[in-house]
Amino acid sequence: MSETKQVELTSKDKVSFKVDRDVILMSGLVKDMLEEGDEDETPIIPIPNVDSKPLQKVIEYCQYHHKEPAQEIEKPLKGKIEDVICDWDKKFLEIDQSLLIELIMAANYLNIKDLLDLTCAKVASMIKGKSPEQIREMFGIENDFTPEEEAKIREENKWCEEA
Amino acid sequence: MAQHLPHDILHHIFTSYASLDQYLNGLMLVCSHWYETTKYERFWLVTLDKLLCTEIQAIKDPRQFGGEQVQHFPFNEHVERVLAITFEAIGRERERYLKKLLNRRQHLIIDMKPFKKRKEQNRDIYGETFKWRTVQFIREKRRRIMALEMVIMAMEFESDVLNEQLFEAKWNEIIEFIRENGIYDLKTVSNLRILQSSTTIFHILLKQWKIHFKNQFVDSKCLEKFIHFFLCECNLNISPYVDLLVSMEMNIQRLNNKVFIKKLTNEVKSSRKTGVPPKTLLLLIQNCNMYRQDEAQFIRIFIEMLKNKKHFHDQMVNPYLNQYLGSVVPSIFCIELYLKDLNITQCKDYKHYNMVNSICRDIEYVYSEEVVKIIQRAHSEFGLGLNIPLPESLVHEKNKLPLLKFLIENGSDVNSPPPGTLYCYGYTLIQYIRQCRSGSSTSDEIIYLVEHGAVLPEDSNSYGIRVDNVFDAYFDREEKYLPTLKFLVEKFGKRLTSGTEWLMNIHRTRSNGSTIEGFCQVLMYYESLDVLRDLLNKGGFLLLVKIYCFWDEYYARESDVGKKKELREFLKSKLDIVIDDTLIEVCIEDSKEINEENGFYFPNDDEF
Repeated sequence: MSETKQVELTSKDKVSFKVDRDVILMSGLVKDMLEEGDEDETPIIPIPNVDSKPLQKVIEYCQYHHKEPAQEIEKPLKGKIEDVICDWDKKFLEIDQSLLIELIMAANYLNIKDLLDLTCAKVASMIKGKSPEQIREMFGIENDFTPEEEAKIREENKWCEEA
Repeated sequence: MAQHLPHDILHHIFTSYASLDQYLNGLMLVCSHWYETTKYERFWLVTLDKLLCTEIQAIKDPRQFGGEQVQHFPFNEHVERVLAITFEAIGRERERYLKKLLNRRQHLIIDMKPFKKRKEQNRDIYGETFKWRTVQFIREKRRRIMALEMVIMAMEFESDVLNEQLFEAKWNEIIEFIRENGIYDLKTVSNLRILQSSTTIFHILLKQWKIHFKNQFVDSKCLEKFIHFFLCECNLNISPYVDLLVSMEMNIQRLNNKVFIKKLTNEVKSSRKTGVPPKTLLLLIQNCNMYRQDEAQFIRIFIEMLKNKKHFHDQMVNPYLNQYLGSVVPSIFCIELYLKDLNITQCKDYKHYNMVNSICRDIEYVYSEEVVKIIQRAHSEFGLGLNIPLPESLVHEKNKLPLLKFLIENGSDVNSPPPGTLYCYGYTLIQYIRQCRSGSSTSDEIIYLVEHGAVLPEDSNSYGIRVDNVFDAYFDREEKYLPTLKFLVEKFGKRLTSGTEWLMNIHRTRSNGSTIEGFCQVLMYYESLDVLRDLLNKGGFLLLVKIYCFWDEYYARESDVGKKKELREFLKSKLDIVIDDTLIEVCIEDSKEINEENGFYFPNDDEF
């Protein structure tokens, strides 16, 4: 029985993760890098844009879904995201918002389409039916509009009320 | 953190997973970074595509009425009688809308036409073309949905309309919906086009009322309230509805008041050209009761307004001359309106014949003598020409002799065919003779026409009309038939091939109007003309036997019931026609085909 080839990923905060090569090939970025690099036994790939916490979640996602391919999520989401994803994904998404955002960035950087879709859909589900004020509060976004600017945008986009 | 998600990720979230109302209403106002996402042309291109695809998918689903937002299409089986709003109209609207959506997607998204085949516009420079197209589509869609929501409300109760109280309650709900819609002002909502480009919710209201209550004695106060709402509160133009309003007789007085007249006048004055759709006047006249002076007076006012406009005659009268003439009724109000106010004689293709022909078309509703007075007045006061061929329509009317006399005395031509036709000279008399086929008596008219110069063509076949056997078609009751036939034969010769048609008519009419003497005289006359044998050869004998068998039941006048033996003897002794007993028995047996539904039996026509 041959030993599985592994890859070592190093996060922005210098934490290393050893992961099976087959698993991490879900990442388009890593796949490209491995194709370009030498056939070392355990190549070390730096991931300078992703901290260890989100990177660990990414690996966790890949480890599960390289065997269980993710189902495509309906577009647009008609109900809650929990209604259209598997139980594992539901549990996977039980994270705080800052990690969710970091995960989106990581999925985008590492080019993992299914993870990006899942996390983006989660955000879409979270903002569904929320007012701008609620969205700001939920994600800790600062309202950087002046009252005049806000009024102007509202006035320019009055037609939205007809949608 | 979310504030710093890059635009491409925000774009992905909003255009892929968020529903339209979320990101359009919420996104732009969260923060300037999110707002910037909406400044990209690609954002709007994707948004528009998504909108179009979602709508196309929704429209293709037959369970849905107006698209994704109107889910409850009233396909209820119990709706059996949809009247003012039909399912066909709804289906057609859906088809048109779907086609429009597919074309729009092809044009804007697939072919990217905004960036091809036209000059660059400011919107292109600022990258706002697709935003503008998206806004345009959203508005159209919203208006359609609102229109359909009103249709649903009006449709759902229509099959249950039993009284004006229910009608009033339901329309109050619709009006409340219009008032409380929260997006558009009253005029915009009430002016939304419903199902087709020329229909608004006010049209639906008027049509429903017309269908359900026009011919009933109901209190029209609620209707007047609704009319006031749409015309005064919503400030709809009155001209697109004027024909429908007038068609409901109870409203003419209301329409004739100063408020509405003033409104109508302003509309006509403020608009260009004729000011109202070209067909409005025609529709108004078609829907108006032109026997009524007040309605004609209202139209008169309307015509006066329109007359000041350029091309009034060319646009509103000339193209519809035939339809105008089709709406003529024998009423002096109508004739005066046409000849004096509308000045219809100025139309390029106007002919006095057509006008008189139209007047004569419906005289059964008016005494012929009254029509004479109307035409006389139209002739002397309004210049209606009477030097015309006799109107063809008169042939089909009852009680036409006074009018016929009047027209002939005033110059109408008894022989010329209708203008523009290829019929032969003498066509009129042929028409009156043939009219007998329909069972109406024209003997007096035939004699009058002949006495006043009516002729028959000499050719045996004139433009497809056979005239060598034209008297075959003549028929009338016993007193009139033989004298008139003899008169015609003396005047024009024997244009008769057999009497089969005569026997057939007696058999068909079953009028219990014959006498033995009269019946036999006709047969003797046929014998003298040498057509009797021909009659008997052409199936006439069977008819004769049938009439004999059922003489008492269906053919004999009361005084001659029980005298059929005399007929049999006469036939045998004078005409050598023998009806033997065996034949009678067979005839009676064959004729006893009992009609199960009606419970009576009668001779079977198929035998002949």
